Amino acid sequence: MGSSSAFRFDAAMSDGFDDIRAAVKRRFGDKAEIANVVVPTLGGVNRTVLFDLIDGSATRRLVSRQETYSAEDSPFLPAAQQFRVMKVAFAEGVPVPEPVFEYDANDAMGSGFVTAFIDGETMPQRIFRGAAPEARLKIATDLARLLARLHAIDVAKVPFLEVVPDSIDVIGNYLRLFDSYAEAHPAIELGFRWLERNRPSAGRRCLVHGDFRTGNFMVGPDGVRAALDWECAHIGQAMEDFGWLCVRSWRFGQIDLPVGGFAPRAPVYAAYEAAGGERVDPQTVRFWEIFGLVRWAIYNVMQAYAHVERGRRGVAFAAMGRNTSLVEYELLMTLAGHYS
Amino acid sequence: MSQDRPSINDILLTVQKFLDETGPKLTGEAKYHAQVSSYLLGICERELRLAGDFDRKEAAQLSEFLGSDAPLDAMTADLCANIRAGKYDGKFDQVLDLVLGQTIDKVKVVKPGHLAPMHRDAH
Repeated sequence: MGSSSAFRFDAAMSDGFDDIRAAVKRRFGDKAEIANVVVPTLGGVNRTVLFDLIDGSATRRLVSRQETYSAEDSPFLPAAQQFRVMKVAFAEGVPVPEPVFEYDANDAMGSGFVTAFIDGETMPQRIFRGAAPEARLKIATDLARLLARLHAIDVAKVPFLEVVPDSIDVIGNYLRLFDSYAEAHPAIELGFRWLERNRPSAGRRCLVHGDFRTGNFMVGPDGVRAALDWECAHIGQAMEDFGWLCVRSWRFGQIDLPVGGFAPRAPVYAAYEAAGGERVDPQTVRFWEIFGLVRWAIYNVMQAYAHVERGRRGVAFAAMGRNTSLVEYELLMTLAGHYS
Repeated sequence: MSQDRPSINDILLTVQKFLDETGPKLTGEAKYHAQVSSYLLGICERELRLAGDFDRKEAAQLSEFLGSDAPLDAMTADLCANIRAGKYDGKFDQVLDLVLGQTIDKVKVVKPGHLAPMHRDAH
């Protein structure tokens, strides 16, 4: 299709993607086109659009993500900073969708960016169903190698993350968030008190993903293809990422396989160390796992707060508010030594 | 006011059954939201049935533990403040047991199947 007929097509039927089309032409020239546009059903609060970029004879599948909702006290990184972190991670060889471009004021599309599309599966139950035991272990050790590479990045390459609240004091930041929701939770208080009294000595500060859990990475038959969802990236302790990955809620029913529902701990820790990661102290991972339970409970409190107090209403947010007690139960059972 | 049949618990279960039958015929987000809605109605039904006893039990336990006869929400706020201030550091396990018991009751309302076998009601 020549550019003149493409123009007629666009003028005749606006398909709701003119903004993305214009943003693409602004960067790749007037002859660049988009095609095979798909909007995934469960995009959450962001606008997510998949499309082919046709640039001369080359075609690339890309993903556009735009923020459509931003709370005044959002604990998440702005899109511009996510994009910068992903660029650094990509340049350092961490498997991450290649960052392509960021939206700017000329696009008038708010905050967002475009990356390469990576094919594969993120849904935990589908990954579990599709993977034999040895494939699951491969996935878990891939995750360990990915983390070793990420944690080896010089934090001087992400100086803009130094001022992020999670970089300054991640536990203190979640306590501040928790207090802002003004709801009494004795279980969460016990979690914070335990963390206060059991904090391990600080190790080397490194770039951590911050939301590294089953559901947030793309998996193919060959193993882990990319780490997604970088909105919680910050500078912190390497073991934060392991703790979050092992939180019981992210095992999606595979409770006897603590590493994301994929594998036991020992071979994964060994793979991390073999890939150049620091020595893994199981007690330090447990500390960050307990922090992870506290954090996940607070996320649920946050959703109920937004539902009741901030007008972002919905059945899923209402259910998350009540599901806080399920996470509190796991937290207390872990503190009591019944769960590991 | 005495109401006619059915009871509120019956109404909730009846609407829940409708959602459970209709939800699978929907697609995408609507299908998911029908499931979640049914889940929420289940919470309502159990809360109506169980909350009175649980609240009385919780208030009695807190009253004894704190030596207070303040209203339940005030005692819960005191418990939280005391935990944060480190007042129970010397009897952390005892407070953990107390809060675990209350949390088990919350879970019995929200999703009883989530409890470990050691905490499930024998039926």
